[in-house]
Amino acid sequence: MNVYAMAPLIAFSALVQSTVTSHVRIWGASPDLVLMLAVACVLRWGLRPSVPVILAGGVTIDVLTGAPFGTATLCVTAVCVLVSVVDSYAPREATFWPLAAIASATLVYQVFWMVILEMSGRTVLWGPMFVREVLPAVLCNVLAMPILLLILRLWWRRVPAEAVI
Amino acid sequence: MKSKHGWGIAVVLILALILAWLVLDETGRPNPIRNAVSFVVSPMQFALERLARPVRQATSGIGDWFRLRADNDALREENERLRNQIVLLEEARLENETLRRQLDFKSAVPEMTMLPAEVVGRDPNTLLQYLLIDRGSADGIAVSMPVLTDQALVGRISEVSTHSSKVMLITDPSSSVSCLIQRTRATGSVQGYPDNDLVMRYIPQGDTVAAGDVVLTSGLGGNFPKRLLVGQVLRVETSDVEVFQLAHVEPAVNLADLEMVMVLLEFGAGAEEDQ
Repeated sequence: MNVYAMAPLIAFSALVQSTVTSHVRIWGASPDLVLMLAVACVLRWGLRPSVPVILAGGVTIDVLTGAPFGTATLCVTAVCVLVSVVDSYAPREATFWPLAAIASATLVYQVFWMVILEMSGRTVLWGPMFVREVLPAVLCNVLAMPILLLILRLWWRRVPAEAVI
Repeated sequence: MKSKHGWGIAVVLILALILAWLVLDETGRPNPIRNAVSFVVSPMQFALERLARPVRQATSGIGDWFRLRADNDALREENERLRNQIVLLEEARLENETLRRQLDFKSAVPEMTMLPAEVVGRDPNTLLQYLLIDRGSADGIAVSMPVLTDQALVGRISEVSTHSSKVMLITDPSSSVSCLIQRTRATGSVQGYPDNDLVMRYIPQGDTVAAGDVVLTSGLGGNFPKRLLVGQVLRVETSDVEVFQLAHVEPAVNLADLEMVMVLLEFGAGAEEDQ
């Protein structure tokens, strides 16, 4: 398994996100598989090797969403760049770091989405959307991330990260 | 030499015995030779039979075990097949029910040309309320066409591909539908609100609106036909300093669980009257 095998997986995850996990609602939000996988890849392999994965996930979301094309790709890429920058200063050995990373990544990702939607002329109700959509999304991803990481770690255990970068 | 004679005598005796057996059988009387042989052989047969029974049971048990296993596999397979069939039949029944309701609705409003479509996906981001349906421009769908169920308005087509389309739900914050309160005819604009809710804005302060009032499309603007059910008023917010009232509306259909919808290809009368 290498980082490029994650590209089709993340594209498939976007489809799952659109069809299956969209029915799983925790306080009105659904787990954002694509964002979680992209962040997990950046934390594991760093930004540069993860770029194909990020783009594959972003483009697939763009195909499925009602937002202007490119919104998802732009947002997920920007968030992954931020995660990668912060990751270089963060205590990587700390167990809470992936959770802190996904919490802040979700927050920034959703705010980026709202900014782009606003700029493209869509109606954005900042207050209600932040309370009813963004905060539940943060909580939902924080709850789902440990499960996803557990599955990914079992899968990634076979190949050390250094062998891929 | 003696042994050679002995063998000869034995053969002659056996042949004589067989001949006698045949002759006695032909007379129709009880055959004493058969009786004598039976007298000797039967107990031996009985004993051997008793001895052989466990062996036979064991061997037949092994055969049965293989047969039972094959039967079990076949029954399990059949059980799985039947269970799948039940699931498929249940799905078909539900689909049939939905289609029947849609057909009834279609017959009730002959001036509308509708196309049934299946929901194949939802927007991956919860900030947006969109559906993906399996019909596109090849089926005659165009942007802005209203989408509904047999019960109420769902949204409108926002993007069209050849074989699929995106539907902006009425609960999306960017959606706006001209509506009226059925009881008082008070008009306003129903807009999407986060978390699958609706709000009716721009209701003049003088108009009467109360919880439980039914909200219908007004047809103003020509984007949607008249008198389509939208939802029911949950609560009303009024303020002396505001020009308009605001009503929170509950959608008439659960938009999160939609499986089939209808795209309104043509609607003549309602909207044009209002324009």
